[in-house]
Amino acid sequence: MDKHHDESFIRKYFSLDHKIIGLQYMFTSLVFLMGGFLLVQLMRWQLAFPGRPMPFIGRFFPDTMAPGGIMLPEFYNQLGAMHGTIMVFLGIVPLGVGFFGNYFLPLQIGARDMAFPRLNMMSYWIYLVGGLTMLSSFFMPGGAAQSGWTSYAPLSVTAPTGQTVWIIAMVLIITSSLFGAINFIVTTLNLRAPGLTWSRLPIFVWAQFITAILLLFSFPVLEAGAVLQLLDRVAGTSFFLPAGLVVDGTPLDRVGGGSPLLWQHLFWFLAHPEVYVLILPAMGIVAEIIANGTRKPLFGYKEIVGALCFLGVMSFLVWAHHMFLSGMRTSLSYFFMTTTMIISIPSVAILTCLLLSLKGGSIRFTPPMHFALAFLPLFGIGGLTGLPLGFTPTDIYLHDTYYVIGHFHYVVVTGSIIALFGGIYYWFPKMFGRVMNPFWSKVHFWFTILMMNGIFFPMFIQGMAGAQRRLYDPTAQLHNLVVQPSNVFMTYCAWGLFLAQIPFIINFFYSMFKGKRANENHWEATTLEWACPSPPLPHKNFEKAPTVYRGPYEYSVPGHKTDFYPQNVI
Amino acid sequence: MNNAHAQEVSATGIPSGKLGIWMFLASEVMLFGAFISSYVILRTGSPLFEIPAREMLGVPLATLNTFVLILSSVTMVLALDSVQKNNQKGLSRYLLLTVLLGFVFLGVKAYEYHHKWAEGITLSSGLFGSFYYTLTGLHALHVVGGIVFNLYILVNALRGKYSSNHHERVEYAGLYWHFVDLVWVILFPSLYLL
Amino acid sequence: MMADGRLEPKMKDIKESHSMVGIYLVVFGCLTLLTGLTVGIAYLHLERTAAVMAAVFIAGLKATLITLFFMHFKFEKKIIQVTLYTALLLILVLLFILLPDLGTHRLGL
Repeated sequence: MDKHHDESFIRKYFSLDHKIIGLQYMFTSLVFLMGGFLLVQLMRWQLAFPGRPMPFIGRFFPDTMAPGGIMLPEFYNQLGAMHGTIMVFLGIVPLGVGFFGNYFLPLQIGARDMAFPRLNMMSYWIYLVGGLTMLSSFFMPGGAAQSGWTSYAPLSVTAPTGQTVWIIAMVLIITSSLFGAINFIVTTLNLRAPGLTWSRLPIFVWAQFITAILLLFSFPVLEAGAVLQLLDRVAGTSFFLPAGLVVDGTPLDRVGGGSPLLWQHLFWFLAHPEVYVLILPAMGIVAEIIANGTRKPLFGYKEIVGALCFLGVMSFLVWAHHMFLSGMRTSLSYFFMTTTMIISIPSVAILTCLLLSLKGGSIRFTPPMHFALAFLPLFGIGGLTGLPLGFTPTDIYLHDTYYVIGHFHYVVVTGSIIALFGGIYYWFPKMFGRVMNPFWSKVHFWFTILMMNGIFFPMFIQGMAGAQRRLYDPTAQLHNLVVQPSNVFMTYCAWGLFLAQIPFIINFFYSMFKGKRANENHWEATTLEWACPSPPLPHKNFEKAPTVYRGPYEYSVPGHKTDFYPQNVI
Repeated sequence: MNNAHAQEVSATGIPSGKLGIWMFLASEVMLFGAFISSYVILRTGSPLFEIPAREMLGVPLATLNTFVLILSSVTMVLALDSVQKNNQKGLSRYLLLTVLLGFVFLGVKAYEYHHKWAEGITLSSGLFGSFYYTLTGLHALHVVGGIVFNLYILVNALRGKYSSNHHERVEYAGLYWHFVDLVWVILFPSLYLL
Repeated sequence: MMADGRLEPKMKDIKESHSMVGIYLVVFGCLTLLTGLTVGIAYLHLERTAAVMAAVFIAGLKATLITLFFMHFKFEKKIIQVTLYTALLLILVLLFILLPDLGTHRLGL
């Protein structure tokens, strides 16, 4: 391991330092997030103004995608599939786990690095290669994957070449996450600073740890599914193909006998825990920010930890609630309906604890606190709108409508992404030794929140009005015409959301180089990452390995001279 | 994975490398578990699951292969046992034997593949063939991985890098190799005997 | 509190007291015998359920022997055991939830 301390990380692409790998993850995943967001901008144009040529950019698309600037249905499907895949697997997971976990988990447990620095570096590079492979599928004959991010068979098996690339990219991304997960688990288990017992771990570390466990156990199952689907596509097997399939009027030359439902089961066995992989790091970040912003200990630390663990366990037992419409046995539907109702309890418990933490606090309305506070009600909306989807009677009506999209995006966008933004604002001083401009942070916050709600709230109304999701042309169905004006409104909001990110991007880069200098504990916080210099020392983080003497959120301790009592101070 | 980082701390008392390899094995359990589950499910559920006659499957050869793999597991633990007693010669001898047995396994496997393909059991001939080649192929890939890992250990052993108080890598390679053996122990009856 | 710092006390104790070679060879003998047994049973043409149960039981036994003794699972700390049991349990969950949904065509359920 090289020990020379080169300050300029741009010259050290293949660093083993967890902080640099974390930053690589951050920049890459933010770029992917932006890319996925731009894809959906195109979709929103089609949804608001179906059949009209796209302005300005329309002429740059080849005829296979959008002849004359008018989007083809196939291209719309590609955008949908790639938007989902990019946002989930290349955007939020690498940001929430790859970046936040890599950068702050070792710092918060007082470690010098991850347990396996080389594995850590490999997981980043495999992720990058996987991501680029995924993007390259747009240039395949027949375009990118177009069977949705869920890639249901047999549609996906008979889809054009882009789907094969999708599978290969997925296998790479899964492998990368797997390596990361092993690393996180071992790091948390083994490298905690002396005195940092399990009951003194910050909630963020707990959340990352449980996330890593979910990844470890759920990702191999999709890897298996992906390999089977790959063989179905390239080797003529029929694991997911029933007999007698007819594609485009010609019978498919396969033996058949496979089960399309098997793919759905394998996929959702991964993808439901995956939802918790998206949300748990966000919850951890919000818990950190709220404890810091309210200047008091979290309400119910133990309850939150218990709820997180319970969430982790239960998340493996609810997957088939995505498949109520698949003709599953009723007894299984009952089982999954029950487990789904049960899993809502820990989420509510966590949210309630965070909400009650606000009571009696002398709240500091810092930019990260804005995001954390917005997370609470907005994630609440996302969670509560999920309940009707967990009951079969209501799910049968709502399942293939925009209601589902609204629910999911409230959880993941106004939940995860808002919290991840908060996390970036919160830890920016630690990463770069400078503070982001508070005024522009708040401008970013208010416009982002407004626009996000403007996009996603109408989806619930559309869904309940019966507007089906995945449709290329929303005006094709007469009953959709009632809600078509809201599609136009949502598209304007999507543009607004794009504009709202400009202050963030400028603020980010400006502050990185020219922002106000921060001291090592800018937010007067208690956890260990604030005990090392800002930015932390390359390859060793701390001047002197810290020892932990108390719990993570000792704010406003009676008798102590300041209102925060860091974990490492005697 | 030359993790020469200076962190000797281990809050669990288990070396990080060992913990890591067990976590990896847990994920492998999930991987093979998902494959085998798919096999069981389609085999019991699919109306079109044709099982070839036992004569076509070549049970004697597969039994031989099972024995070869079990034997290689024994030589692997004996290698570990040798290094624990600081017996360098025993270590390299048993490691070499393990690697050779691995190659024997692959050779027999290749012959079986050739034979079966000629008999008309192919990847696309039916669900049994598909599963047969997928499961054994995935396992064979793991065998190859194990052989590479063992060869790496063997080279280091010949250079005298391991001793009675420094032989973690030998143990890790062993864990992986035994896992590969274990998977075969489960695949063998489910593909050949039932 | 933090761990006691000793590395795998159980295993060290065992090694110092007596060599494991004897155990390994006994396990090897058992594995070979069981392999022979399972092949033998397969040629008995038992009733389907019995044949499956015998094969699964013997395979499970062999896997357990390998894990416990060759992989020294018996002497590992709880955290490793818990991890592996979790994986095993989850696979059983996957299998037994999917079986009634997809795997019962033949039984006509």
